[in-house]
Amino acid sequence: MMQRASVAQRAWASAKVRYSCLLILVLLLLTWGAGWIAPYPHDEIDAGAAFHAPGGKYLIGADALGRDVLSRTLHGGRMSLVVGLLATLLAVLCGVPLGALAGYVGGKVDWVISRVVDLLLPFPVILLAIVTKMLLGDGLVSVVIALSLVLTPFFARMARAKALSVAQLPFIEAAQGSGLGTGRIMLMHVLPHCFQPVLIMATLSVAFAILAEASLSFLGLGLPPPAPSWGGDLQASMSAFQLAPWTVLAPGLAITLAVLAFNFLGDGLRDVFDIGERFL
Amino acid sequence: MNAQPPVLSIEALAVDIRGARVLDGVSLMIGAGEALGLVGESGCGKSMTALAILGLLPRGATIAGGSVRLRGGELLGASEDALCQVRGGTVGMIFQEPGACLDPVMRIGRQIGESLQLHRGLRGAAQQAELRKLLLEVGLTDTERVARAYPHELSGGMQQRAMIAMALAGEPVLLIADEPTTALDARIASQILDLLDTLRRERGLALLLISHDLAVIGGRCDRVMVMYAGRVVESAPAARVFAQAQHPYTAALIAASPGIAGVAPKTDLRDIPGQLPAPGTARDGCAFAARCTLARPVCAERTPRWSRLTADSGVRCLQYEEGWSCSK
Amino acid sequence: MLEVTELLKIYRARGLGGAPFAAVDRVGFRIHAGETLGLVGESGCGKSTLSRCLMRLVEPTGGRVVFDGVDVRALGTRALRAFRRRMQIVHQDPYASLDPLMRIDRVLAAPLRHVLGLGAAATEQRMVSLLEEVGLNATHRLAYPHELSGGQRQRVAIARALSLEPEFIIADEPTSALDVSIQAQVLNLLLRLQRDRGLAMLFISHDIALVAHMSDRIAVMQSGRFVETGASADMVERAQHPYTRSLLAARPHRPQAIAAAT
Repeated sequence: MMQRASVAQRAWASAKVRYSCLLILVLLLLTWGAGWIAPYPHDEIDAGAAFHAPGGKYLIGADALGRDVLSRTLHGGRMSLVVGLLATLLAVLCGVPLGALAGYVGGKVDWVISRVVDLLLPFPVILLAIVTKMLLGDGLVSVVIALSLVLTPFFARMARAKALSVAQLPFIEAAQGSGLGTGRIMLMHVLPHCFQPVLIMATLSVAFAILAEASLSFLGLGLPPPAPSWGGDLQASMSAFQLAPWTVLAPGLAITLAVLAFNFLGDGLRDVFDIGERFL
Repeated sequence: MNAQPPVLSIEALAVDIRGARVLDGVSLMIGAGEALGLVGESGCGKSMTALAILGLLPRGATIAGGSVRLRGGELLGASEDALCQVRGGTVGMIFQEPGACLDPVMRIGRQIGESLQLHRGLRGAAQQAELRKLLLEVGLTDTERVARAYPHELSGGMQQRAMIAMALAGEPVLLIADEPTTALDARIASQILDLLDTLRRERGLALLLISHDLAVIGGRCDRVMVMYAGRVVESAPAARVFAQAQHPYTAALIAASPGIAGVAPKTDLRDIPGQLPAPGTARDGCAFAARCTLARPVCAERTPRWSRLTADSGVRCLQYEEGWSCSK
Repeated sequence: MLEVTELLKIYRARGLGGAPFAAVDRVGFRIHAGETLGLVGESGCGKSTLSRCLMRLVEPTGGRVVFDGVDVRALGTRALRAFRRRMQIVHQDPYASLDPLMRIDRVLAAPLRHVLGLGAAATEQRMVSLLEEVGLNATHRLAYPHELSGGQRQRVAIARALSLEPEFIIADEPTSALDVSIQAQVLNLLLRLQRDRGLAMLFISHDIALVAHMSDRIAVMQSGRFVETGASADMVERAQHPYTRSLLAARPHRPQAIAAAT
């Protein structure tokens, strides 16, 4: 008969979780507020100011077209974070219910869903991105869909494993014995138990998605120019590294910070939850 | 009573966990070839007593007083090396879940062999010979197969026998069995208890049998000690405890056990209202007072001391201390 | 009330090269209202499988289960769900029979709201009266399972089973995980509920002494079959089958005491 602090309290007690949440909050505020904070619009070109060193008008300098790197990075962040969060959200909404259903119901349903998941798993991001770009054209939507297609099978698999283990437990049998239907049991019992592992995987997925989006943009498969994007800017500035390192460092550092923040959050949550999991 | 000195002698043992007293004034004695049953429900401190004997108390637990003497030698405060010699050597211990206490990736023969090597320095052919002897002694007749098997390949009863063999490997003088049969079916449990009985007689072992089930203890022990909330509340020869329990808690336990309560089917057992106190909750007065049907107001205030009733029995209850006669 | 004939459950072999085996091998019995049938056997004998088959939580391979005139095996999915109200199980493990993430009030409300379709106020009322009937008080409904003791959790499980007003309770080792002093409380509770509500009960345990105490009649099960059945008082004194005898002999007994001496 112990008093267990609520899950949220325990999570907050972990330093990793606290600081990474803070960092993420800062990043979100900065990038979302880019429209107000950024000194210049992201696409204002000033040929005369090309490769202007940091200082003076341009806090972190200017890129090849004279655009302010700071403004560009802030705006680019909005794109990257939106893509990362959206792709993960989509993957969770598609993958978790399917996986949980497969694990709980079993039988043919499980077979079908598992085959679909198996089919999606081996596809590399790049291939999927090319296909979606062909089918849906350039733009945010196709990148988000490509990324979520990559992430969905992992969520489905994890939800399935959790549902399988929960389905054995006596309280599920009791619920069935009470005459509750499959849908209700899944909503009330199975899905809540999936919550913790899904949350951990989701934070790590956001980190992955941000990095993947950057890679895609770097390869020219992401958002088309002049859309600001960390990966795109990185690619555009690569050749100028010697001349104007700030054009590469700014987006590079931004990517690193964002990915680290989400990774640490996931890590910290995993530490917290792993101890809690033993209650089952 | 034996004329020889007792194998195990505990006096006024007290254990605190983070300041809360979980064992208070526990005293007991076991002679060679004798079986003492320690009975109590969860949180009464019976397992803690066993762990204290072997110096295996959990972190945060400290010995607050008393002495534990094994064949005259004091165990409390002994060096870790000395205790390691004792554990598995002079004192063998058997636990409730044999499956959990046997290394799942090591074959049985090797695990017992480890013990033989550690405590008796046996290796090679001598070890193998002794291993076979032990396995036969505990009733695992197919020694080849068992020695080569992994724990999960054996049934629960066989795993328990293997654990007993491991405990015997160190040639102990005292065997502590902590709930050895709780996880087993009744018939297998009965066989294991019979085995312990036989070993006790043939090897002259002292046996400390711990259980929450009074019925298990009943037919197998010479003397019974009942514990409640960290204190011993009654101690008497087994036959006397069942025929005429002195402490209200003991009487209530007997009346609440379907097998030995002696009531007709489908009539209510005498249940003990309320709940067991959480371990370590400090209190003045008798710990059982809140649930005792014979309690008087003073029971909640004065802590009863141990009253010796006869040469080999005693009880901790105010009615004997004060000479009241409470109707049962 | 309940009539079972030739109940059969065959499991396909596990692993490679094993033969299919019958967990329940053509078992038949009857239980009337207000009566308790005790089912005793060692682990693996099929008693839990049998109880699951009665409620079709596990589908039987063969045989008939007739409850109050209704052929249980012939029910369709929806009818089965509605039917399940009448037969409820109390499990052995009080720790796993309640969802650790759910507060007690939600646990009890679930069958009331979703199966019986009660409104919020009626649910609350029923919940409180159920808790009181099993010896808990209304404040317990705000607790999480891990905040309650084993005995209290078991009472909640019983309350949940009762919430649908069943006519038949399957008690599958309901007290194995509990201390002796709490065990008596739960057993007495079951007896009282049976008397008050006229329930039929199937009491399952590996402990023949416990079964003999709680039942009018006993069935001894071994390897999927009933090896002996009879009135419990008779069985204890005049068991015929060697297996039953061995179970009785393994019963713990008072040392050197004869029943007459006490």
